[in-house]
Amino acid sequence: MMWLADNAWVAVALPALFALLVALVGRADRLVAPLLGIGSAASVLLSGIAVLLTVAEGRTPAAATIRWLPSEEGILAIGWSADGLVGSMLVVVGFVSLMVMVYSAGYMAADEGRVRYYALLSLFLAAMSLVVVSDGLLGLFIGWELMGVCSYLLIGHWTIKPAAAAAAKKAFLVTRVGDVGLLAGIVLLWSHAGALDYESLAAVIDTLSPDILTTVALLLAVGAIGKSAQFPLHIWLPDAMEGPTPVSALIHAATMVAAGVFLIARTWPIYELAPLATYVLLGIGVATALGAALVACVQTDIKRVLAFSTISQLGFMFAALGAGYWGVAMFHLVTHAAFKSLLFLAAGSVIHSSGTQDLRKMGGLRKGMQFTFEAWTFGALALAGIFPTSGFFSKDKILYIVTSENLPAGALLFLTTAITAYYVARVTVLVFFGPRNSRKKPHETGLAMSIPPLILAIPAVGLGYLAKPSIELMAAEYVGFDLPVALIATGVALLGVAIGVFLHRSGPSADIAFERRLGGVWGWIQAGYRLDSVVQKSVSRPSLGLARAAYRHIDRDLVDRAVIGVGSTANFLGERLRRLQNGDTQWYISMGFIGLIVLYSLSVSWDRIHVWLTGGG
Amino acid sequence: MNVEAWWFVLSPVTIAFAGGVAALILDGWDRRVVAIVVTIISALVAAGASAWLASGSTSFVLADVLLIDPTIYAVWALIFGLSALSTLGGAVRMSRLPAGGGVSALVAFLSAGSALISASVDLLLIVILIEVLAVVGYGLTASIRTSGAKEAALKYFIQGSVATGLFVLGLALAFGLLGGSTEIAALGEGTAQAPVVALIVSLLILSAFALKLGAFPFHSWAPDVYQGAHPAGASLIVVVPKIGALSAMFLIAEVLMRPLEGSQTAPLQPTLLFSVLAIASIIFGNLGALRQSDFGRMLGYSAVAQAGYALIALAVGLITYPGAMLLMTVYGLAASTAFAVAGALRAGHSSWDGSIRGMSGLAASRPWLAASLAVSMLSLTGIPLFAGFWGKLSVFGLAAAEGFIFLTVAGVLGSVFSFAYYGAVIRTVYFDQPSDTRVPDTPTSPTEALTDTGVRYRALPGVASVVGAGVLVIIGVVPLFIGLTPLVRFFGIGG
Amino acid sequence: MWQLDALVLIPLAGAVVAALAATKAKLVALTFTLANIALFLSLAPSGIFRGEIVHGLFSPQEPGTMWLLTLDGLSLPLVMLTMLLFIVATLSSWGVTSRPAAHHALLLGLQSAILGVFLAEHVLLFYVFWEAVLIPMFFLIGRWGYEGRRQAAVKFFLYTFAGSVFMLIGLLIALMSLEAITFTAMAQTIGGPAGDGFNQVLVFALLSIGLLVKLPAVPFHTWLPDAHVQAPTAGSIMLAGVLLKMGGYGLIRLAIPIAPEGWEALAPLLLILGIVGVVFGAAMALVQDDLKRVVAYSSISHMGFVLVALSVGTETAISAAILVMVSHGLVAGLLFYLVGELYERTHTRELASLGGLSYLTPRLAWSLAFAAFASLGLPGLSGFPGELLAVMEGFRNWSWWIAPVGIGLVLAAAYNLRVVARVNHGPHPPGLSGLSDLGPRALLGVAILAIPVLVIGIWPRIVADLSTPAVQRIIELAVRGVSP
Repeated sequence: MMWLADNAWVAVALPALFALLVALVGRADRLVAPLLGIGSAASVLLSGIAVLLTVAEGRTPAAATIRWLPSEEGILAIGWSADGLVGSMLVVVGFVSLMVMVYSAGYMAADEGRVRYYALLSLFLAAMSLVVVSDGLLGLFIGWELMGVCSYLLIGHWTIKPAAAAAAKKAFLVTRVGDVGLLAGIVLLWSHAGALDYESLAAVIDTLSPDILTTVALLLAVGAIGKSAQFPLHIWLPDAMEGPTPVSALIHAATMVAAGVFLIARTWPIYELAPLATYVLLGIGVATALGAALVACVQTDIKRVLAFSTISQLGFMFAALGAGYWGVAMFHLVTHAAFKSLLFLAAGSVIHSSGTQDLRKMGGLRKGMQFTFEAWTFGALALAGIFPTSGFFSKDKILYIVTSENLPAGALLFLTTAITAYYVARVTVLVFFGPRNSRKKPHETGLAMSIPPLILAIPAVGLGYLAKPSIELMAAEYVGFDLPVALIATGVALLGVAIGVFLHRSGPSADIAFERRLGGVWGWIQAGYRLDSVVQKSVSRPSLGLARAAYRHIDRDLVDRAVIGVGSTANFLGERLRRLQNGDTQWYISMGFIGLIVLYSLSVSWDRIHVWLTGGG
Repeated sequence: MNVEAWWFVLSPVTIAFAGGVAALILDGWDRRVVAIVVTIISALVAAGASAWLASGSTSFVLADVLLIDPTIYAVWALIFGLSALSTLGGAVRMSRLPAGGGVSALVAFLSAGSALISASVDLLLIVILIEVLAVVGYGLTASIRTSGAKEAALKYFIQGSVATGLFVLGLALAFGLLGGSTEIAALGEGTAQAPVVALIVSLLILSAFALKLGAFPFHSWAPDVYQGAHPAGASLIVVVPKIGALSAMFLIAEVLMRPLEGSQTAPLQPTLLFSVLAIASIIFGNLGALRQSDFGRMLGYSAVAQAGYALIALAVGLITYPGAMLLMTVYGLAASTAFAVAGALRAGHSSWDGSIRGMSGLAASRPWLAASLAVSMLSLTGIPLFAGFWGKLSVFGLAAAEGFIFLTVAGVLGSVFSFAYYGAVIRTVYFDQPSDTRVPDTPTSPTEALTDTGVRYRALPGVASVVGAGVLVIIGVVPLFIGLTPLVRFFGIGG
Repeated sequence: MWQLDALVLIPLAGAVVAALAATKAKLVALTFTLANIALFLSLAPSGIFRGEIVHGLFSPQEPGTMWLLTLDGLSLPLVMLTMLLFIVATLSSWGVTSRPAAHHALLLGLQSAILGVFLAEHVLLFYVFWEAVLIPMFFLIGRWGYEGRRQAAVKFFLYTFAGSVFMLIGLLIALMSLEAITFTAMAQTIGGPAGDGFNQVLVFALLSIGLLVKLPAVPFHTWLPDAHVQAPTAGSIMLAGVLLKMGGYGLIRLAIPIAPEGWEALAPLLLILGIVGVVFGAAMALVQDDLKRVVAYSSISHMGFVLVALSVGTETAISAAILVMVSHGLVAGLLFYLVGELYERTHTRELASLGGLSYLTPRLAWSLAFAAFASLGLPGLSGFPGELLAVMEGFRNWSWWIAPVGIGLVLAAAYNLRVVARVNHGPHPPGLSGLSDLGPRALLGVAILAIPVLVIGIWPRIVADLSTPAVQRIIELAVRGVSP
């Protein structure tokens, strides 16, 4: 166990190895691929536990670094290091992915691309572990990008669906924009600090100018915003639902989106010296939280509701980071990972059983899906922030610190809490209560798919009581329980729930009424404020148009034609010359004489021409 | 070597000349094939003798009109070697002509005359030799007896006469006004007294040579002659007199023009003169060759451009002499190879109309010929691994080293440009589908060609082209291992 | 070391044998290529992998001959790249039915010439090989290419030949002022009176024109899309994989040590050309409909990184340029190889008429996706380390001026994923069905390139350490030349 803690690289190497094994022998037996997948998740989980235990003992796990690229001007190395933050993150990633792997054994049992699926899932884990255990930004960036590609391939898992391909491409491209920002931050940091590992950085960071630090912090934040789906780079996430549901669970709960928050937590010393950047984080976090929650209220697709709720909850985390408490943000990340993966897996079961993702076609699923319903309820309560679930405690801390940092922002977050409770209640009622709208008889979906949500319910409910030890284990500043905030929060949440239940008790009719009454506004919100088409119109299409025009007018018409022009001019002159040579000997001889005279004149007057040309000098 | 008998010193010329006379006699008995073989052998022997003499280090002066040193012998070796190759290339067509042996004799005389011209230091002798060359060239061009050839011959003769006229005019001026001597060296001394006369004399004499060289604006005969003449004749007219003329031009430029350099009264700017001619020839030749559909005509225009490269050497000065001779020689070799291919195509009883398009599909039907053609085109362009590259490099390299960047740029750009038409030939031969005027499937390899008498005979031009291409490759590759110095030193002034 | 001379001559001998071997030519080609690799590996005991410099049979002190060959850390990665790519090129031509003997003979001749370029020590020998490369390539494109091959072959030849002669003029001027004719000697004399500032700028500019055409840098690039698209698969692999590298190699080997002051003066221009190349190439790649054209323009974009790196005068930057070149050689080679396999099956390269390959021919599809990821600079694959270093060094030197490269990075993802989405994903067009997936031979070809891509991606020092000693020497000389 201690060995595992001191060799955190194992959390990267084993999943990578398992991924390779899956690819090589996964086809041999139905069980091989899932088992190997579970193995890679377990190895990450074990590593995380080992690290946490070691840290709890008060010992720092060993770290090591290797020169990766030659460079005269600094250390360009990759390596690993571990502390409480890393350990917690590994545990979260390992635990959630373990559940996802088990769940997938049922969900993907009949899928033709199973082997590829498990291989990619393991590789995805390896990449996420690399992000976590890297001792510096270089390694982090490598894992970061690899994760992007794995998510691309997993979102596009069903290759025959054009929508999946488009969603996958969009996810990669949008996050790539953020990644370029991250890369710029890394490059800027490297050129000023001469190192990229956290330890060296911590040592020299005080010597850097505040301007540089702020720029670096903002650029790193761009990367985090892309990966963690914050406004305005969140547009990839709702579409990413095209992938298999377990993948959504993993991406939304523990891996992809968590990486952004983790990045900022890990590079916190920079943010501490860059107050401007934290304000930006706060602003973006609050705006995203509120905006996405509103959109979640009017979605008709169960997975899209969860997707926008993820964006919204990540907004809470960003707000916490912006308020200056990365430990709180991380704690919310942990609880969110538990309840959101639960919700996704439960939603997967619901979809599997009802054969639709459309909320309006569900209803009355409580009967026949008792386990799923119970698990969902725990998750929903946690998401809504109802006492005594984990979500209540983590959200309470965020509300408290944000309110004390900036009152208007805090107020907006309270509003968001109410809205969150409302849409949670709406979904729950629409799915599990009321009349049954689907002809398919609801049924449980087998052990592999029923057990993981139930297991996830344990942390989703209970983690709240571990707030103090887990934040302290991460060596972050702890924020105590605040009763007034808790009371108000609970009040608004209950209000939200009540409204949700009341409005939707009779099924989807309320939606239809709203839609009729609100008209365009409804559609506008439902389409995520049409940000997609704004981006389409203002970025994608103009750039494509520009590239096409450049190809046609610059590359072909200008550059290439200039080249061809030389040739055709020569051809033209050649043709003219050919006619000049008309076979007339007299003309030939005259030409010679003319030439002779010209040469003579040139020779005798050259001195004068020369003087004239050189200005008499 | 103490033997200074004139027959010994002039033995190569004598051998070649004797071969020609023998061929004439044999032709009289209608032994055409024997006559042709005799000229080829005598040319080869003459070339060997010259090469042997070139390895010595003595200079001879004969009767104050001929100055023969190892460099000249080296030039002679080339002239006679090329003469043998051209005769071989044109052998088949010659043998079909009623006076085929006579034609081969003309080739021998042409080479002997060219050899002598390169060694002349007396204007009077030069004018006589130029006239000899003009008459022989006329005969050669006309020998094929098609209307085109006759027209070409006439043009060649008229322009040759003009050249002679110019030369005689210059000679008269020189003799009368510059000190009463026809010796070139003596002329040099007279130039200081009468610069303007010297200028006119130089211009007149140089334009006569420029005409032989085919440089702009005295080039007009070249396309017609290249197109219309007998392959063997054309390759000789193209090649052999040009080497002689270039050599002589260097001599005249040095003697008549250089001494004035530096003096305040200098009216003459040889660098300027030759630069203008060089660039004009390069532009004119390249542009002219670009749109030609006839293979011979294309070669004719490209020859103007090649003359331009040689003029660069003249502009740079005597230091470029070896490079210029190398350039001209490898040009001649490549051009002869190309003409040999044309000869082979004509010899194959084909309906080939002489056009470049008509060569399409040659790569499939006669791969050896196609390969020889490709080698000669690449060499003419000046691509490394072929002889032409070293010729151009030794001229352009020195031009750059002497600070004539402008001329270097003109030269290399001209070379690049030339691939547009030289490359088009390769493209036609290798990449294009065979046209209607398809080349019939005659012998495909030299070895195969030698198995049957009838076929063997027709394959001779093909063999010549393959030999020429082989030499181009060997000259192109060997300097990589032994260095360029031996190649250039071969033409080194004064050994 | 006679092996060095043999490295150049064995493929040439192979060419002759292949030309005579008729239908067995492909076996001959493979045998000679493998034999050459074995010969190359036999040099290992002399320490070539540990930074030792190895000379050919003739020593540079011996006057007269031009046949001087040297293998150092700069040539080494490119020589290895060339040999790997030639195995793949031979494998890709396995199915050539039209005059296979000539095809393989030309390939072997090309191999000889390219190895000559990378090994030549004598300036003129270098130039001879440099131009000699054109000849087999010209015939390969013109004879075995696609529809527009004839024009493309001539355009390729004329364009690159035109560029090279400027390089020749630059070399001639440099020779005049340096009076040395081997690279080593040139570099040694450079500390002395190596020409004044303007002369150096002129020399560097002239050399660069030839090298930039080959690289190619925008706006000297328009020969490349045509040549790449029209060339047969083996030709495209060699063009993108090795021929473009000659440009970068020449800049490092020739232009920088010969005219360091010129380099310093023109560095901003290199940077601008590099950035324009990165962005413009990527943008052009995004809007192409022909798969080969996409890869062709992507090459322009990647080679832009080489220029960005070479606009910075540090050791690290030059290492970055070498890394980018090696990586791009492997990746572009792989891409063209796969496009060739694709075309053999589908008879189309139009993106619009492709689709669904991920379930029609999964091995081909995923290999293509792998190559596309490598091309977009995914960390863990070979494209990333070099481009990262190039950007880092570029930023260190030029600060925010290199920011537009970021656009190129996003566009690289866009055009590569566009290809993957169009080719692999979605339903397949009705015409495409019953396609055979990659067989063992084709997979071998993929593996030969994919494994180094992966290895270099994970452990880039494997390349960087090889070149470091040579790069250090070059920088030392350049610095000495700038401030004697």
